[in-house]
Amino acid sequence: MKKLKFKRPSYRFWFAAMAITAVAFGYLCLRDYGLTGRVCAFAVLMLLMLQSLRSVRRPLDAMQNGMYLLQEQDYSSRLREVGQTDADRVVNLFNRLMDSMKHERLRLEEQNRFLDMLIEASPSGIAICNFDGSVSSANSAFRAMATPSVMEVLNRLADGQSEVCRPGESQILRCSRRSFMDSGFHRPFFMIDRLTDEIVQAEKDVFNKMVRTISHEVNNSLGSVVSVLESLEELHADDHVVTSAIAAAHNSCLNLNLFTRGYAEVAKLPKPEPEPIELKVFVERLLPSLAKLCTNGIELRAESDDSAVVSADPVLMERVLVNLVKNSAESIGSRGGTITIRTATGILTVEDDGPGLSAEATGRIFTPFFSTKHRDRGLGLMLVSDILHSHQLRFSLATDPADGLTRFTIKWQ
Amino acid sequence: MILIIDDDSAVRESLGLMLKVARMDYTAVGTADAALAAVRAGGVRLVILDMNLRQVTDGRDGIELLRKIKILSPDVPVILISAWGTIPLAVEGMNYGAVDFLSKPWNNRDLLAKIRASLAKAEAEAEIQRQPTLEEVERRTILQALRNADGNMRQAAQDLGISRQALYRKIEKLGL
Repeated sequence: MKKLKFKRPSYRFWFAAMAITAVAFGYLCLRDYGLTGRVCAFAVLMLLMLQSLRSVRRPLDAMQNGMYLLQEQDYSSRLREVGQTDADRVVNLFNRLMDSMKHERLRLEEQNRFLDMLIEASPSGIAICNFDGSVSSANSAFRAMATPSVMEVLNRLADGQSEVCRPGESQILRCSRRSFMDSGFHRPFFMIDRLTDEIVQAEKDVFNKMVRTISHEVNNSLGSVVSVLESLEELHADDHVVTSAIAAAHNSCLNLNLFTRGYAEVAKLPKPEPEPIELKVFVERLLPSLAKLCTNGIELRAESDDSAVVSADPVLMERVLVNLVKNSAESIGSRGGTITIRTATGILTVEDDGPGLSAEATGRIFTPFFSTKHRDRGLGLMLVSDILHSHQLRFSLATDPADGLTRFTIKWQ
Repeated sequence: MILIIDDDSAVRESLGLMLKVARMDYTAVGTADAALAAVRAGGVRLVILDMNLRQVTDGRDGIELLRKIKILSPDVPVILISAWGTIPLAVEGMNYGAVDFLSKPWNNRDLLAKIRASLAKAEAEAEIQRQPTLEEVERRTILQALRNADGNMRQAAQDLGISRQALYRKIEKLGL
């Protein structure tokens, strides 16, 4: 129940009273009544004027308080009614204004929180920059994907440009640079999108189809040629000129067969059948056979931080290790060196102190058919890449400028 | 006679040359229909079957033809050959009754060895199946016993471990 308060009269009341008194005073003066009367009337007039001033002051005071609160942006405080009509009118108006401002602010805060959550949850990496281009804030996806080589690509981009890159790692990323208006200036922001799965699958499909078609044709032709050569060899066994010529032709055919078999092997890779593997034990078991791949002068070591159990197909992982050690051994070559296989929780690294990869090679290392070795088909890393992709593992190959070691790293999630 | 089934004429020629040098009779066909006709005509002792007839790499054509051949002549050994041999295809082929699986290009010597081994095995199995019937066994045994007993029925029955009446009954039944 609203309390019925006695409200002090409005300033209009006092102005009216003052007007009447003034008229009365004027009348008294004109009619020249006694001095007392005139003095009294004058005194009353003065009093009324004071009261009017006070009554005008209240709403002004209220407004001043209100301004102060607005300045402090304190939208939760309210002015109190003072019991005077005009002032209270101002107070109520002001309080309603504060209410709507508070609601507006709450709404904006909620919206901002929601947007922040969206950005943080986005699988795209998003980073907002300062006006000088350095990153001021980033979501977790961005922080996960923005390695130094990726940052290098981003910083190179012009506003509105995007580029697809494979920065020496298993990921294929699209990097973009855009901008938005902030205080009248363009403020840059970066985006990184992961394209890996779709592209890798598409590449694999094309590769498999091509290898199948070519192998089929080549093998059919080779079949009849090799068979006829062998038959001829038997029919002319005592003619050395013929048999040596046939042997040479036979060799060519077998080389061609080996050539296509290498690619066919990659295309025929079976789906992995994962088992729990204890990395340390797994590597130690393979060490003797891997050591045979390392010629004189190359030392093969295994180091382990702790015993970690991961899920992988042991037969396929063995092939991965064989290929990686072979690559490292070939890279080191005859000058001698060390290959170290390190295992830690969820990470396997094959490290060598060979000459390493150039920056240009690092960018292309996982593209099919790429090889730094003469007459190499670039199959080894393709096989490794295929096997690791089918396990859905992340991996990377790079030469660390800090210690000059080349590392192939495989990460379980 | 060995049946060669492959849609590639060069492969047929080269296999033919190999078999001719090894002095084996053969027939070469290029389509599934011709192959089935040859099998029905009879005289086929071994089949060399290309899994990728009609240039299809998945081998489904070959499996289908293998199945039909095995129905028509279950005892004839089939050797599968393929330009794109995968382990699943080889396993499926064996499941459908093929005796071996080879990839192209093949080695003549190996293939000939496999052919000879399969033919020998098929011979041996056929021999075992020429198993005499129970009646034949009985007849032979009774005749042998009578011969041993110089025609003496009572002695023969005693040797065989049956009564004289039983022996008479058996002789009557067998029509001796």
